[in-house]
Amino acid sequence: MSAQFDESTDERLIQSTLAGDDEAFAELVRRHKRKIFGIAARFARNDAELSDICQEVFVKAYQKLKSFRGDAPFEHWVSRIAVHSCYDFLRATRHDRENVSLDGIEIGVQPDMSARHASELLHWAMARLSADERLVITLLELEERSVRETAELTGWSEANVKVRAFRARQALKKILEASHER
Amino acid sequence: MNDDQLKKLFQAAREVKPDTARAEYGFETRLLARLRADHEPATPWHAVVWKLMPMFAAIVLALGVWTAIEPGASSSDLQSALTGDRDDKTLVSYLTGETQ
Repeated sequence: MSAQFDESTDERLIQSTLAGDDEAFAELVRRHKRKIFGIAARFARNDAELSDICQEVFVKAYQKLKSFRGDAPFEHWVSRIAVHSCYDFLRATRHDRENVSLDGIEIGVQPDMSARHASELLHWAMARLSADERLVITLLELEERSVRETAELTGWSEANVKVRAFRARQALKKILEASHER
Repeated sequence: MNDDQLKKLFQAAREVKPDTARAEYGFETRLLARLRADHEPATPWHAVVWKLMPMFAAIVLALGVWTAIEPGASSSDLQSALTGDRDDKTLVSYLTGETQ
């Protein structure tokens, strides 16, 4: 199905989509979905949530495609939409996430801790952060993006990103210390 | 907890790459189906009314059947009304001495 678009650039696919060719948009999605799923997977708790977030991202991209000016690659543009959608998702589901139990998660930071356990503990602790704290920690520490990239993706100033990141790390430490004392 | 411990925690968490293959499967198909559904114009009111026609016809038919198989109640009401009227006339004739 996508063979006809193999050689097309993103710009050409965007033009075709705007001209009413939905298959061209499907090709754009096919090209960039891995990146968007990668971002959303840091926030979703299961496949259904992941799929919902990614659908929101690409539906918004489809609806706003006319406003894409092409001064940055399409992937950057759609990544920004993804980050905003994830932020909205975090704000909408904060209370659900706070109820995640610590049962079955190894408490405290041990030197020989497996990556899986560390990830579970971190996710449990991050679920207790506010939406902006969680977003900034995810982008800076888990996605390893620079302060500038994080600022571009979130729309916050670089100074704001640094302040939020500092506060988020402090909050995370407090949560992890409290879990260790339990 | 110090910064080094937190960094180690982040490092370990980074090593766990989320598996998105299952959610990605068939994603474009689902997305296009949703976009096409969003494109479809809303159903106009007269189309809704036309779709409800069989239901309206069934209600009218049911009312017709019901009035046909329940004649007793309505005719007895009519009969009593007529009889009551005749009794009144008989009483008036008796009292006034007029013949009908």
